[in-house]
Amino acid sequence: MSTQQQIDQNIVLSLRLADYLVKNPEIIKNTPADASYVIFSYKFPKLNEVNSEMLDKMVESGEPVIKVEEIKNQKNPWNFTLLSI
Amino acid sequence: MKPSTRRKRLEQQRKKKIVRKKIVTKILIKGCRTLEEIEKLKGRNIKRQHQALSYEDRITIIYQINNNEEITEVVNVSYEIYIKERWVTILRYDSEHGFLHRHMRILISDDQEIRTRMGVIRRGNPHKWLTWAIDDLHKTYLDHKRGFVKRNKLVDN
Repeated sequence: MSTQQQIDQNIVLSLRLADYLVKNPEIIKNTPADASYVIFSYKFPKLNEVNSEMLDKMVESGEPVIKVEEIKNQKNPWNFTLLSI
Repeated sequence: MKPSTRRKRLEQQRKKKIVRKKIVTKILIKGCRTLEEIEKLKGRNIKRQHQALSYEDRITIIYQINNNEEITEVVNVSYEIYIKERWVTILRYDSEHGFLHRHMRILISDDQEIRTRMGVIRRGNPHKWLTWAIDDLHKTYLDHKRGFVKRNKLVDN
Protein backbone atom coordinates (compact mmCIF):
# COMPACT_ATOMS: atom_id res chain seq x y z
CA MET A 1 0.00 0.00 0.00
CA SER A 2 1.42 3.41 -0.91
CA THR A 3 1.71 6.30 1.57
CA GLN A 4 -0.90 8.24 -0.36
CA GLN A 5 -3.42 5.39 -0.15
CA GLN A 6 -2.70 5.12 3.57
CA ILE A 7 -3.33 8.84 4.05
CA ASP A 8 -6.52 8.81 1.97
CA GLN A 9 -8.03 5.91 3.89
CA ASN A 10 -6.92 7.36 7.22
CA ILE A 11 -8.63 10.67 6.43
CA VAL A 12 -11.88 8.82 5.62
CA LEU A 13 -11.70 7.06 8.97
CA SER A 14 -10.67 10.30 10.73
CA LEU A 15 -13.81 11.99 9.47
CA ARG A 16 -16.01 9.21 10.84
CA LEU A 17 -14.14 9.17 14.13
CA ALA A 18 -14.26 12.96 14.54
CA ASP A 19 -18.01 12.93 13.94
CA TYR A 20 -18.43 10.21 16.58
CA LEU A 21 -16.24 12.02 19.14
CA VAL A 22 -18.11 15.27 18.63
CA LYS A 23 -21.36 13.48 19.44
CA ASN A 24 -19.78 11.64 22.40
CA PRO A 25 -17.29 14.10 23.99
CA GLU A 26 -17.17 12.22 27.31
CA ILE A 27 -15.05 9.52 25.64
CA ILE A 28 -11.98 11.75 25.36
CA LYS A 29 -12.51 13.55 28.63
CA ASN A 30 -9.46 12.20 30.47
CA THR A 31 -7.12 11.48 27.57
CA PRO A 32 -3.78 13.32 27.32
CA ALA A 33 -4.16 16.47 25.21
CA ASP A 34 -1.14 15.67 23.01
CA ALA A 35 -2.06 12.01 22.35
CA SER A 36 -2.18 10.83 18.73
CA TYR A 37 -4.97 8.60 17.47
CA VAL A 38 -4.09 5.70 15.20
CA ILE A 39 -7.16 4.24 13.58
CA PHE A 40 -7.88 0.64 12.58
CA SER A 41 -10.95 -0.71 10.83
CA TYR A 42 -12.34 -4.15 10.07
CA LYS A 43 -13.12 -2.77 6.56
CA PHE A 44 -9.48 -2.02 5.64
CA PRO A 45 -7.17 -4.98 6.50
CA LYS A 46 -4.26 -3.69 4.42
CA LEU A 47 -4.45 -0.30 6.09
CA ASN A 48 -4.42 -2.04 9.47
CA GLU A 49 -1.08 -3.68 8.64
CA VAL A 50 0.54 -0.39 7.70
CA ASN A 51 -0.98 1.46 10.67
CA SER A 52 0.19 -1.31 12.98
CA GLU A 53 3.80 -0.66 11.95
CA MET A 54 3.29 3.05 12.40
CA LEU A 55 1.75 2.47 15.83
CA ASP A 56 4.70 0.34 16.99
CA LYS A 57 7.14 3.04 15.94
CA MET A 58 5.18 5.75 17.76
CA VAL A 59 4.95 3.69 20.95
CA GLU A 60 8.70 2.98 20.80
CA SER A 61 9.43 6.69 20.55
CA GLY A 62 7.47 7.27 23.78
CA GLU A 63 4.62 9.31 22.30
CA PRO A 64 1.20 9.06 23.96
CA VAL A 65 -0.88 7.02 21.51
CA ILE A 66 -4.50 5.95 21.48
CA LYS A 67 -5.34 2.92 19.40
CA VAL A 68 -8.84 3.27 17.93
CA GLU A 69 -10.55 0.28 16.36
CA GLU A 70 -13.69 0.43 14.29
CA ILE A 71 -15.77 -2.67 15.10
CA LYS A 72 -19.04 -4.18 13.90
CA ASN A 73 -21.21 -2.75 16.66
CA GLN A 74 -23.83 -0.14 15.79
CA LYS A 75 -24.22 1.16 19.35
CA ASN A 76 -20.49 1.49 20.12
CA PRO A 77 -18.64 1.35 16.79
CA TRP A 78 -15.25 2.42 18.20
CA ASN A 79 -12.89 0.84 20.74
CA PHE A 80 -10.30 3.06 22.43
CA THR A 81 -7.05 1.84 24.02
CA LEU A 82 -4.48 4.20 25.53
CA LEU A 83 -1.09 2.65 24.80
CA SER A 84 1.57 4.88 26.29
CA ILE A 85 1.86 8.04 28.38
CA MET B 1 -24.88 61.15 41.58
CA LYS B 2 -25.26 61.99 37.89
CA PRO B 3 -26.12 59.02 35.62
CA SER B 4 -22.99 59.62 33.49
CA THR B 5 -20.74 59.58 36.59
CA ARG B 6 -22.45 56.42 37.83
CA ARG B 7 -21.96 54.79 34.44
CA LYS B 8 -18.28 55.71 34.40
CA ARG B 9 -17.80 54.29 37.90
CA LEU B 10 -19.52 51.01 36.96
CA GLU B 11 -17.37 50.77 33.83
CA GLN B 12 -14.18 51.27 35.88
CA GLN B 13 -15.26 48.62 38.39
CA ARG B 14 -16.00 46.20 35.54
CA LYS B 15 -12.53 46.78 34.00
CA LYS B 16 -10.84 46.26 37.39
CA LYS B 17 -12.72 42.95 37.77
CA ILE B 18 -11.51 41.77 34.35
CA VAL B 19 -7.88 42.66 35.14
CA ARG B 20 -8.07 40.89 38.50
CA LYS B 21 -9.55 37.79 36.84
CA LYS B 22 -6.74 37.77 34.22
CA ILE B 23 -4.07 37.96 36.95
CA VAL B 24 -5.65 35.09 38.91
CA THR B 25 -6.01 33.04 35.73
CA LYS B 26 -2.34 33.57 34.83
CA ILE B 27 -1.28 32.30 38.27
CA LEU B 28 -3.55 29.25 38.00
CA ILE B 29 -2.44 28.46 34.44
CA LYS B 30 1.13 27.82 35.63
CA GLY B 31 -0.19 24.82 37.58
CA CYS B 32 -2.03 23.34 34.59
CA ARG B 33 -0.99 20.15 32.84
CA THR B 34 -3.09 20.08 29.68
CA LEU B 35 -4.53 22.45 27.14
CA GLU B 36 -8.03 21.50 28.26
CA GLU B 37 -7.28 22.60 31.81
CA ILE B 38 -5.94 25.93 30.59
CA GLU B 39 -8.90 26.57 28.34
CA LYS B 40 -11.34 25.53 31.03
CA LEU B 41 -9.85 28.17 33.31
CA LYS B 42 -10.45 30.72 30.59
CA GLY B 43 -14.06 29.56 30.50
CA ARG B 44 -13.65 27.56 27.31
CA ASN B 45 -14.23 23.82 27.03
CA ILE B 46 -11.78 22.74 24.34
CA LYS B 47 -11.30 19.28 22.83
CA ARG B 48 -8.18 18.36 20.87
CA GLN B 49 -7.16 15.33 18.80
CA HIS B 50 -4.12 14.51 16.66
CA GLN B 51 -4.96 11.85 14.10
CA ALA B 52 -1.96 10.13 12.53
CA LEU B 53 -2.24 9.67 8.75
CA SER B 54 1.29 8.35 8.09
CA TYR B 55 4.77 8.72 9.61
CA GLU B 56 5.00 12.26 8.31
CA ASP B 57 1.40 13.42 7.98
CA ARG B 58 -1.30 14.11 10.53
CA ILE B 59 -4.53 16.01 11.11
CA THR B 60 -5.12 18.08 14.26
CA ILE B 61 -8.70 18.84 15.25
CA ILE B 62 -9.50 21.37 17.98
CA TYR B 63 -13.00 22.58 18.80
CA GLN B 64 -14.87 24.30 21.58
CA ILE B 65 -18.03 22.89 23.12
CA ASN B 66 -20.64 24.43 25.43
CA ASN B 67 -22.39 23.01 28.53
CA ASN B 68 -24.79 21.07 26.29
CA GLU B 69 -21.74 19.47 24.60
CA GLU B 70 -22.48 21.11 21.26
CA ILE B 71 -19.71 22.58 19.15
CA THR B 72 -19.65 26.35 19.34
CA GLU B 73 -16.43 27.03 17.45
CA VAL B 74 -14.07 25.23 15.11
CA VAL B 75 -10.81 26.38 16.68
CA ASN B 76 -8.55 24.48 14.29
CA VAL B 77 -8.68 21.71 11.71
CA SER B 78 -5.18 21.45 10.28
CA TYR B 79 -3.10 19.25 8.03
CA GLU B 80 0.52 19.01 9.17
CA ILE B 81 3.63 17.42 7.77
CA TYR B 82 6.80 16.41 9.60
CA ILE B 83 9.71 18.36 8.16
CA LYS B 84 13.15 19.07 9.63
CA GLU B 85 12.26 17.40 12.93
CA ARG B 86 9.08 19.36 13.61
CA TRP B 87 5.42 19.39 12.66
CA VAL B 88 4.57 22.18 10.21
CA THR B 89 0.95 23.18 9.50
CA ILE B 90 0.48 23.80 5.81
CA LEU B 91 -3.30 23.94 5.60
CA ARG B 92 -5.85 24.79 8.26
CA TYR B 93 -9.42 25.86 8.85
CA ASP B 94 -11.02 27.81 11.70
CA SER B 95 -14.20 29.72 12.48
CA GLU B 96 -12.65 32.29 14.78
CA HIS B 97 -14.69 35.23 13.49
CA GLY B 98 -18.02 33.42 13.28
CA PHE B 99 -17.52 31.87 9.83
CA LEU B 100 -15.28 29.14 8.46
CA HIS B 101 -12.21 30.06 6.45
CA ARG B 102 -9.10 28.41 5.10
CA HIS B 103 -5.46 29.33 5.80
CA MET B 104 -2.66 28.16 3.54
CA ARG B 105 0.99 28.46 4.54
CA ILE B 106 3.39 29.67 1.90
CA LEU B 107 6.91 29.19 3.19
CA ILE B 108 8.51 26.95 5.79
CA SER B 109 10.74 29.82 6.94
CA ASP B 110 7.80 32.18 7.53
CA ASP B 111 4.55 31.87 9.51
CA GLN B 112 2.59 34.00 7.02
CA GLU B 113 -0.54 32.47 5.52
CA ILE B 114 -3.03 33.19 2.76
CA ARG B 115 -6.50 33.38 4.21
CA THR B 116 -9.55 32.77 2.04
CA ARG B 117 -13.25 32.00 2.08
CA MET B 118 -13.28 30.99 -1.58
CA GLY B 119 -14.89 27.61 -2.00
CA VAL B 120 -15.51 27.38 1.76
CA ILE B 121 -18.92 26.45 3.12
CA ARG B 122 -20.88 29.50 4.25
CA ARG B 123 -24.04 28.03 5.73
CA GLY B 124 -24.63 25.54 8.51
CA ASN B 125 -23.41 25.24 12.09
CA PRO B 126 -19.97 24.63 13.62
CA HIS B 127 -20.50 20.83 13.68
CA LYS B 128 -21.21 20.85 9.94
CA TRP B 129 -18.20 23.15 9.36
CA LEU B 130 -15.95 20.71 11.21
CA THR B 131 -16.94 17.73 9.07
CA TRP B 132 -16.87 19.87 5.92
CA ALA B 133 -13.32 21.05 6.76
CA ILE B 134 -12.05 17.46 7.13
CA ASP B 135 -13.78 16.48 3.90
CA ASP B 136 -12.34 19.50 2.03
CA LEU B 137 -8.93 18.75 3.48
CA HIS B 138 -9.23 15.23 2.05
CA LYS B 139 -9.89 16.64 -1.43
CA THR B 140 -7.22 19.35 -1.41
CA TYR B 141 -4.38 18.27 0.90
CA LEU B 142 -2.31 16.64 -1.84
CA ASP B 143 -2.31 19.74 -4.05
CA HIS B 144 -1.35 21.93 -1.09
CA LYS B 145 1.38 19.51 -0.05
CA ARG B 146 2.84 19.32 -3.56
CA GLY B 147 2.76 23.11 -3.90
CA PHE B 148 4.38 23.59 -0.51
CA VAL B 149 7.11 21.04 -1.17
CA LYS B 150 7.84 22.58 -4.59
CA ARG B 151 7.90 26.19 -3.31
CA ASN B 152 10.24 25.31 -0.48
CA LYS B 153 12.39 22.95 -2.56
CA LEU B 154 11.90 20.06 -0.16
CA VAL B 155 12.19 16.34 -0.85
CA ASP B 156 8.81 14.58 -0.51
CA ASN B 157 9.20 10.94 0.53
